[in-house]
Amino acid sequence: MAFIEMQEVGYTYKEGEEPPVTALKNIDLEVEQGEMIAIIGPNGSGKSTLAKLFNGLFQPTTGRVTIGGLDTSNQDKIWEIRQQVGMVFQNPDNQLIATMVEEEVAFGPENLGLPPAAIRARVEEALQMVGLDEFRQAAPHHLSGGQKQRVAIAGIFAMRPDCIVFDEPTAMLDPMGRKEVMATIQKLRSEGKTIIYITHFMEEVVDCDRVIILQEGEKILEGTPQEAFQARDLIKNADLELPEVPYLVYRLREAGLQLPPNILTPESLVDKLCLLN
Amino acid sequence: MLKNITLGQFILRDSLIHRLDPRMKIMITMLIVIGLFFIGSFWGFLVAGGYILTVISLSHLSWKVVLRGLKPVMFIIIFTMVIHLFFTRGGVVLLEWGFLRIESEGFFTGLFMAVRIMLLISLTSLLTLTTSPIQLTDGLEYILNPFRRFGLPAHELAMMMTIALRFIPTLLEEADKIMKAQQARGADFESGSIFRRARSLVPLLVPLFLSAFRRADDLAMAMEARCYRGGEGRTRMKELSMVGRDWMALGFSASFVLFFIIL
Repeated sequence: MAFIEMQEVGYTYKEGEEPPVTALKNIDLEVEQGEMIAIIGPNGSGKSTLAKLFNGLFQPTTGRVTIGGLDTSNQDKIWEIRQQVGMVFQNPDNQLIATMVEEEVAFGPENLGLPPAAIRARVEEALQMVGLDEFRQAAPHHLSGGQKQRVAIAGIFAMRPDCIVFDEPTAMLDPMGRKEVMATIQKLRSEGKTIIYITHFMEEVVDCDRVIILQEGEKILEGTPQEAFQARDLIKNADLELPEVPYLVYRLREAGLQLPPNILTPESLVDKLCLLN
Repeated sequence: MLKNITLGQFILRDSLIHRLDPRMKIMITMLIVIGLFFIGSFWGFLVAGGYILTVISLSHLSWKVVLRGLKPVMFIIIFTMVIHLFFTRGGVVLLEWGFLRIESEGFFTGLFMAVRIMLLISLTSLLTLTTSPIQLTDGLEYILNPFRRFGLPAHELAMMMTIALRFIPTLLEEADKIMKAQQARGADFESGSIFRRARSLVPLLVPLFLSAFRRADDLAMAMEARCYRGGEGRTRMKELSMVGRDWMALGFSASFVLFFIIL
């Protein structure tokens, strides 16, 4: 049994007087421990809704979601599930609770009811992990967007989850902050955390193990980044854009150059181009 | 500019007063405040004043900062004094001029009242000057905790205060941004009558409230995702603990209170 399993999951928003909106239809998904998967889709494709199904913030309207064998609809186990599956949200300002960085990181472990000394140790460890140990006394509103987002990641890391869901964590950041956050996520990945990365930037999925493309609540593609980038028509239909290198490769191939289609980085493109002569 | 706002009036110093346990500081302040109302003599006030001067010098703050706290209440102080001066009767007549008459009882009550208010305000502003908002919130939560059994939501109140403190800078920044966006499109927030100006705030408040509600929604979700389920079963990283100096401060203050009440 996979670590995370979704079986025929659907979600319908019923609030309000408008006709109910179906955000997700028939999603099947399996994630193994230590995997990094990207979920990508344009606005309104249901990706944020999907994110909230991973830790029981939303309950699926149809189908079921299990985390390590625990069903997220099981209210007795919900806190266990949320400890296992942490979540970093899009807006760094709206997910920080405390007025001081170290208190912010301590918030999660405090909720778990750990003894003070253990919380202190976890906070130190988490702040070191994200490289913000010098800022432990700072107020969050004095930090940059990227730093705030790293504080949020530290807050989740301190709860020692197995899996972290990132819901467009870089959408509101400048390029610098985006880089910082991506580097931190790679670090988490190298520590063996399962990562579910939700985004609408295609170039951010290059390093993932697996890519899932959503469109209008349905999974239209699942595969490696190479496979995803080759499905150019599908990507175009889904209002997404190819990253620069795969796009360049695509155009070069169209122009008749004998290049393999699965090139993702500038370095490998240079290598392959040199081999052409 | 908005990045530099400080919350409350806390001034960071490394002093004995700053290091005291916030709970003790709150309790001592309450004790002294109550004590101040029982002072009946000139000497009592002198001793109480001496106490506050001692605390100021121990806190490494300049007395000017403390006096600044008196400015907003100056009107009330003077008003109280004048009312007592002319309308409290008793004792010997000190001054008579037309229908105005000042009697000794009024003079002394007015003076005492003014001094009492001044001491009261400087004492409470000393508390907020030497204790950070976070510590104050923490201290209040601990103090209110025993009242939980009577249904007082101590933890929730403290959490609300923390979140308010956390979001004040965020919302100020946002208000500033919206205001500039509106001004860029010709909105006028500065001229006209007070009603006009109040009305021009509506297009500022509507988006501000909308976004505040959205933020509240997001925050609630983020808190739940981090296993927040109220104060039950929750522990703290920084536990407050009373040490020797806290009890000494209490003893010192209590003896002062006794002293200036008796005098």
